[in-house]
Amino acid sequence: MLELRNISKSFPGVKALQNISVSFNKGEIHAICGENGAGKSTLMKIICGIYQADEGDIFLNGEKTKLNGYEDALNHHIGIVNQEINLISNSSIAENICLDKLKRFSKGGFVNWKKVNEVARKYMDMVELKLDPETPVRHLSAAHKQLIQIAKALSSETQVLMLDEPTSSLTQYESEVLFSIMRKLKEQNKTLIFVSHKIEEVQEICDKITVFRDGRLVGTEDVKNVDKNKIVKMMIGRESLLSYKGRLDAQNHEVALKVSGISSRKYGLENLGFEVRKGEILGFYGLVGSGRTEFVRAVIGVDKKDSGDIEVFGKKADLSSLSKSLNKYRIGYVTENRKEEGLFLDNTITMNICMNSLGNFSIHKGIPLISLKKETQNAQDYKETLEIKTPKLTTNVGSLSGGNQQKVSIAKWLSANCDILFIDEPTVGVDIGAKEYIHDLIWNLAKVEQKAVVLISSDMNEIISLSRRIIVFKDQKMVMELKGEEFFAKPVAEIANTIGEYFI
Amino acid sequence: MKNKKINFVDVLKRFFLQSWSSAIVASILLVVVFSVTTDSFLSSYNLFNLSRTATLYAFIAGAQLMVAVIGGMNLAVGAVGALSSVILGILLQDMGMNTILAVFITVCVGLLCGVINGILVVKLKLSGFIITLAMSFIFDGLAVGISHGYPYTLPENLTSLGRAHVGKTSALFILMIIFVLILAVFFSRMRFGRNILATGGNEAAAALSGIKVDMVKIICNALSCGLASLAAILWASRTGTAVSSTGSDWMLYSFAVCAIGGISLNGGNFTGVGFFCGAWILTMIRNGLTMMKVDIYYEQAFLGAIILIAVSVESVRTRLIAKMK
Repeated sequence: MLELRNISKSFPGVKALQNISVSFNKGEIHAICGENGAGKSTLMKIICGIYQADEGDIFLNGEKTKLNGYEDALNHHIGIVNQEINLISNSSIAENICLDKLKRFSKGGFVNWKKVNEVARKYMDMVELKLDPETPVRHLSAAHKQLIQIAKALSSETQVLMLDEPTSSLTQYESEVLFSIMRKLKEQNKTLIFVSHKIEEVQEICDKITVFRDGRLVGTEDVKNVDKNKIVKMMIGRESLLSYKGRLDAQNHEVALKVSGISSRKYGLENLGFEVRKGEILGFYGLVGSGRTEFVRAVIGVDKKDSGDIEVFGKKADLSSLSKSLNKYRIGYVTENRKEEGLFLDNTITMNICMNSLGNFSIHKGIPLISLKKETQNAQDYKETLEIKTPKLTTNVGSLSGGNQQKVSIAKWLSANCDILFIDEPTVGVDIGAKEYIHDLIWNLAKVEQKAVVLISSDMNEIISLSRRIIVFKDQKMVMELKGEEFFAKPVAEIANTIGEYFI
Repeated sequence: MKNKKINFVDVLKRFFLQSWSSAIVASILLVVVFSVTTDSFLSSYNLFNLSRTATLYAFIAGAQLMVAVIGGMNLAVGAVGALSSVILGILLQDMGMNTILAVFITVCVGLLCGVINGILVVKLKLSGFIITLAMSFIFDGLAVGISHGYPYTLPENLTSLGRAHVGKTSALFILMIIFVLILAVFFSRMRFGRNILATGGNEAAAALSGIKVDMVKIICNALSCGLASLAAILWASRTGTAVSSTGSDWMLYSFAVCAIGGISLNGGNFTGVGFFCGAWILTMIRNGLTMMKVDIYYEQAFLGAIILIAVSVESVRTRLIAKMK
């Protein structure tokens, strides 16, 4: 169907792709995997005509084809579904699906909406979207929006459909729905190209997998012939180290934070509590929307709580606002949305790291002037200890990779010398190499620095390998608590099964 | 020899990486153009006048700056200026109050106007555009209503400030330098200034860093109107009278200076050098055009074109930097 031969592409200073040859067949779901910066997105952009290759050719159905621009690709029945949702939120589903061909349905400037709705209906059926085509997109869930994007891509009689991390904003159940639709499209003999970070998903639905590393092709394999470790090894060039990390032995340490009776009507939270000790990593496991993040935000004062008692190191504490939690009780919160809520993307690394600890850098005690030298030194220290990869400290955080951005957002709280740290989804959108590094970092925060850490995650492997006590959230309730050092020495799969029973 | 050459290129590169570089280049260009094409641009009398006007624009733009850094805007800059002029006039002419006390009270009124703006913006969760638009009509209306448009005469001890020489330059210019220095130190070296920039850079992240974002917004609005009051006082001391028509064109000029000075209207950044040059560029353009005997009725068109060029150069520069990286 689609074949790439000896494709190379360079940007000033980087060879993004070097001599890549892959072929995608009809009726096949083909996974493209690789760490961030491996060349996946460059390849996608070449296939859909946004970039032109410096060398090499594209063959469509055995015919040499040159694609000039995305529209040209659409005319050749190649479509792409982007990771971010690009829909017009005030328009209807039908209008969004047919947006690029409204011309076809209009006469003298007036659109025949009946026809538009009919056509949209057809593609909505393809993705099993049972909604009124005239519904405005605004109020729909992320999963529905993702399906609309797919319907939109299909509406150009698409034969080759690329999906760029389509599950990143979906829950597990919603992902399953998406997968069944992908299987159906496969049966219709379409070619699907699936870009994903999540190896489990690749194993679940893909037939073939092609792995990239540093702009080179590592190999193409049948998915059934390779196991997870092999894929990880292909991606990072070594075996995965995600496994049992050892004992924390924090049972007898001082209780850092004791929370009880937290209720928040707004989020449907009722009478929840927990305690976490120095040198402990407490895991909050739950899917998006299970109440774990809402609970934490209510505890530390980001959102309002209706009731609740909190003790920090044995003393009654008033955590009614985040600035109190941080400045008075040294509680830090590494948010799950580092780009939207955690970082100042247009500002320098130094500024970001030192943001919460500016009081420590006065030129002289008592004088409210910041010493730029001390500030830079502090940033430099964290750059070295956390191995933040950047040419300069004056680089804007926005231009760093996901993993390095996450290191900066953790460094910010370490610099503020927090004793109690809430870390929410620390490895979302981070490549595998950096993921391991961040795991080691969190482990050492508890083990070596004796911080009290609450790790919030929907990544089961992550939470099992790091925490030695896990509270499971479901439907705004704490449904289970797992504890005991011995329990966590068991194989990850066994622990995962215990937790998983609550979600079937 | 060869080494030196590379260093020069390096220095040049580093210079153009700065957001204020275009403002500096533009300033130098304007000085060259105007001093070549006119006889009197560089005369000491003209420079004295320029320095006084640039100071006024610096304060007017400072009023806009305080909200621009948090990504907001203040359309009431001129209206607060008008109201302040009238209050200053009443206090000094009608009530015969001590000058220093009158100045102090006038600035307090300005701050109060800003606090009202700020509280409305924060509590109603509306954009600064709408709130300050509405408030600008109110302030303007009050100014005209109280004064009925009549000017107030001011005492000698206030107007002498506007005319005073310090060495070869004006007293006002010294004030401008002090003002810009304070701004520069405030935003780069003080915690509260940094918190303001952080709020402008990413409000959600600032809130999650323990910054009281609402408080920052109220204070910035207060400082904004306070500076507008201060500008009105300086304006009165420069012109010798206080009148309610003061400030009618301030709002647009305040945006212009910020834009020319490379200060993002989306918030999050400030450079003292850029701001300083911005005020000078605007002043020089207005003055230079008159000197070149450009038809006064066309002045605004030229001004607009030059602002457009300034911001285009800035846009090209940022794109070039992105490419260089």
